[in-house]
Amino acid sequence: MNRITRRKFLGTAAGGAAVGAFPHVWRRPAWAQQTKEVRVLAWTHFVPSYDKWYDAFAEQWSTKNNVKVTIDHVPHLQIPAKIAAEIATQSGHDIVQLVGSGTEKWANALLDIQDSADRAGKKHGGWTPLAENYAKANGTFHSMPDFFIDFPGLYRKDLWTEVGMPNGPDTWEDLRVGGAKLKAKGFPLGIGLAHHDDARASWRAIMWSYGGSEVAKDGKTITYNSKEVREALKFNKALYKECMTPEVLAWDDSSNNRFLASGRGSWIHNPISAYRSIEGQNKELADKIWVQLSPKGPVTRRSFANCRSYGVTKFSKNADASKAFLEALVDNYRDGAKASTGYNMPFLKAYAKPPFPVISDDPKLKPLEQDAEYHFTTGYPGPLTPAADEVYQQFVMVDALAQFCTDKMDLEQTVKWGEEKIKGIHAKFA
Amino acid sequence: MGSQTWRRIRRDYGPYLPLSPYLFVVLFPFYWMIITAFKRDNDLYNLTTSPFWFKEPPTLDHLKLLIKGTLFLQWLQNSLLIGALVVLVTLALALPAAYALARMRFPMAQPLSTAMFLSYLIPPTLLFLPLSQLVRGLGFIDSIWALVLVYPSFTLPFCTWLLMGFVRTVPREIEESAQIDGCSRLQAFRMIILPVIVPGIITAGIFAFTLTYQEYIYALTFISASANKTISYGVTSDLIRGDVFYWGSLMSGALIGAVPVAVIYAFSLDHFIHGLTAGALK
Repeated sequence: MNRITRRKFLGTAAGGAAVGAFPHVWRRPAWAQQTKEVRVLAWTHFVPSYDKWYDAFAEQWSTKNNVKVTIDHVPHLQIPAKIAAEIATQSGHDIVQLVGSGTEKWANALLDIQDSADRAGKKHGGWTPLAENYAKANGTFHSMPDFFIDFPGLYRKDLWTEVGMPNGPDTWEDLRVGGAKLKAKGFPLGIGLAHHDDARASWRAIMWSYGGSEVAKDGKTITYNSKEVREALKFNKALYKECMTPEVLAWDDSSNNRFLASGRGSWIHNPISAYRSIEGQNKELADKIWVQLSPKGPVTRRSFANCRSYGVTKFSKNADASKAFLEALVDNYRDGAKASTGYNMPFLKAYAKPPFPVISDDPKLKPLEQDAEYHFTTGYPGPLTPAADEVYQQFVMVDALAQFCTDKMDLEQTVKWGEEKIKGIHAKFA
Repeated sequence: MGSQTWRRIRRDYGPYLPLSPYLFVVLFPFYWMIITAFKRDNDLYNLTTSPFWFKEPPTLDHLKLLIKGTLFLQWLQNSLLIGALVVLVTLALALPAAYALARMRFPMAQPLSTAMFLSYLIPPTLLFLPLSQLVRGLGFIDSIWALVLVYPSFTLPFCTWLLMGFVRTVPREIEESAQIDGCSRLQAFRMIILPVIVPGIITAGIFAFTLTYQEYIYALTFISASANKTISYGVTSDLIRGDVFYWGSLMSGALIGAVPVAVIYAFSLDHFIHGLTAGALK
């Protein structure tokens, strides 16, 4: 009987490695290929069907235009590191997706694509102010807006009906009142209060709805030390203490999805990805989950938009083909939005009017038709500057609030701490 | 229960008692991986049932998604190949370096060996930008050769230090006898030193392989195309979609990914243990 000896195993393993290496040795590296190619660095979309559509769209466009387009999907949190490395070496993708941080931060490495953005805008009714804010740097488009991710409320209709709000809480105060009752019944609500994307989006939505902000319209004057911010902080603490459990202090972006999927969560502030994933896992629970507008504050209704756009790198050897591809992508926005199952929200005025793909056909998702009217992004009410982005990236607001909610600081200490942090960051960019 | 029976139980099973907390700590993650890999999502997220066992029948859906819905097998092949090549490169460079630093007398030998070890302490998060330029200069961007080139930057210093310890355990007199009998220094190295330090070579090889196999930052930076990804990067990039984690498939990937390492350890365990202890003492 043949016995596997260590010697035989190691010999076979080494032989296997050599055989495995063979095709790689003879594979021609990218630089040696002569075909005209456009490579796109894009995030791994929350909805897998969108990536399938996107890859297929790129292939179709490639065939039609005799340019090979390759989409490289990367987790969104890793994209900035990837772009930084490519800028350092002045090589890499022709098109890079800018995920949440705005365009000004990367503008020095990107081409001015005002001509392309103008052509796309004119065809589809013009760009929304949110799109312009996100994609412009030094007054001109340096990236092509693609879509934004909204933050509505996802609520358990059965539970909120029990507390007299069958359509979910319309105001943040309703959320606190109803949420306290539901927590007492064993169904708390949850907004993450830790270092993750959703936390810095959701708590900003509340602050803005209370009339507060970090900076003024000019993007320079620090406004964190204000009556409105104090009111928002006081409300947030009450919301945390009365309606949530301390687990939110250790959450990440996936936690509120799991919280809702567990059947214990009564309300979360999140894009519809949470609802879509529950639909695939637990139809019975998904039937009870509805989507509502992000609640209104005492001053207004505001929510946070996490934006996506595409820049063409200065080191691209196929800039014209890259711009043509992006224009085609904009032209086919509706197909993409359909493939995203209603996740992608529009940046163009013509697309921001009903009927929306998927959303307008589903009564549960109908409230999302209004998203473009009340969603704003980092730096609101001012522009998305690199300073505003750094305040966002450093979780200043979330850290301030977490310390206040856990009684590590009182209200005045919290405001002072936050204000100093924001001023320090803005001073670096002055 | 009679005192004799009790004594027998203590004799037979007593030694396992101090071992059991350790076994629990090291084996629990594997148990969790197995359970999650085959658990239905409904069951996984249900807080009213025991998280340690199945309430609903197990499913192969997560495994199917991993194998058919991603390029997992390609990533596994890439990781194994890169690991094997990095081990070869590391050993080819570390063995002569370790020999030179351990045996030969030349100016700056001690500072050089210290500097080599210190270079191991520089984190990849600082090195990836300058290394990007090197990789780009050589035309290796987005190819597995980028990783074969870069990974020795952290396997080499460690393995050289490890092998230096082994070379020092070989009495200088044996090597000198060989040279008196007519061997050149190279022949003495090949015929005397190498056979004696085989446990050390295996230990260094295993370390180099496992360090390479688990690496993430460089893979993320230098690889973009799905077909060229490694297992650690591919699984997380395709199965974590923003706030949606495909836990079952992630755990399936981790479980299958652990198999090659477990097999290598199983086949080399005695050499590995010998290597660790022998290298520790001169």
